[in-house]
This record gives sequence, structure tokens and C-alpha cells, in this order.
Amino acid sequence: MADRIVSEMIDCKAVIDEVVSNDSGAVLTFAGTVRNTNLGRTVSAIDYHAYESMAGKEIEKLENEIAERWPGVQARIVHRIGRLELGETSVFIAVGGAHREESFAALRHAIDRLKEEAPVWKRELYDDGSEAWLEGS
Amino acid sequence: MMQGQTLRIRVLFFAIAGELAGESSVELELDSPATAADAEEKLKERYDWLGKRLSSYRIAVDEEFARADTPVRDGSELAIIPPVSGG
Repeated sequence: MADRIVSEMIDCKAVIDEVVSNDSGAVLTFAGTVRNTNLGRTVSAIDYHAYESMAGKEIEKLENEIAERWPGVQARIVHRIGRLELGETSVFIAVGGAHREESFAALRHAIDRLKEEAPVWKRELYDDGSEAWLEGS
Repeated sequence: MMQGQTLRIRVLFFAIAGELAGESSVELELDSPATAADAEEKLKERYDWLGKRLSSYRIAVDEEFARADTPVRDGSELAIIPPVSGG
């Protein structure tokens, strides 16, 4: 099983392959990407930091929680850290289930909970050369 | 660890907390037995900026989110977790 916290480009195809099985009829993915504005400021890149060992554990817990709550649904979540340029994928989630209702619900749950629980932080780099840590969302 | 002894823990500061502390980790000594709340009290004495922020921060002990009464042991790793912003 691939690492949940990575410092290079996320291999999205490999993440999807881990949730596809002969039982799955609805495979959904979510990609979080680096956006050029936040709170009115022009963002030129984001440096992601994590408490890596704990973030990996929290993500594993979330994957297990999804498998328990939606039996038959499998989720895989990978977060990238380090400096990411605009448009690059910071988080990638793949969910595989038998039907789309549970896959959509599980995917929504996965990204919402990830953003609440995983010890990961953005340091935004702005076009004027300044930088700031984001505290929350 | 017996009553009355000193235990040493490693405290990790992440993101904005690391910037405010001026370092990413420190060693902290506590009287045994100790809880996460005891560690917080001691850290608040050392770091003025921490006191008013702790209500919105979370604490982890040995890579698990902790409550005030979570025990810390000799060699424990306690992390100061500012509001997260991953995704």
C-alpha cells in the first residue's frame, strides 16, 4: 500500500487502482489543487507541512472509519507536502463502492474529515514575496 | 515512573507555533505523574504567546489527539497543533 504522505507528485492512477475491485461499480475521485487566490491575496505557491507520522495515522483511521460506516466502500487518501505550484494536486482521494450514493457520501466525508483532523498546514507564498501560515481551513 | 520523579518529554511545535516558539522542538521536564494539562501549564509559563492561543489549538501525545487528562510518560512526544489547514 502506497504512503499516505508523500513529498513528490501523487500517483493518482495508483491510488485509484487500490480502490477498484470486481465489486465496485462507482469509483469517485477528489483532487485538491493549489489555487491562485485566498482571502483576497494573490497566491503564487503553497508550502505544505505535516506532522508526518501522525498525519499518516489519522488518514489511515479515516480510511478505516469509512470502511466501517459504508460497508463495501474503500477509500484511499494521499496528501502531498513540500512546495507546490499553482494547479498542482495537494491531496488526492479515491473511493470505490458498489453504488454511487454511498461512494459520493464517503468521498464527501473523506475530504471534510481530512481537513478537520489531519495535522497538515499550508504556508502560503504571495506574489509580493511575503509568506504566511494559515491557521484553519 | 514513580511518584515524585522527574520525567522528560519532547515538545514539537508545528506551523505558526514553530514560528512563534522560534524552534520546532524543545525538551520539557515535568513532575511525575503528569498529564497533557500539566504540560500545557508549564509551556504557558514559558511561552506568553501560547496562553491565549491554546483554546483553539489541539495537543497530541504520542501521535494521538489528547485530552487534558491524557497521561504523558517519560520519553513521550507532545505536539502543539495549531488549527490545521491541509487539503
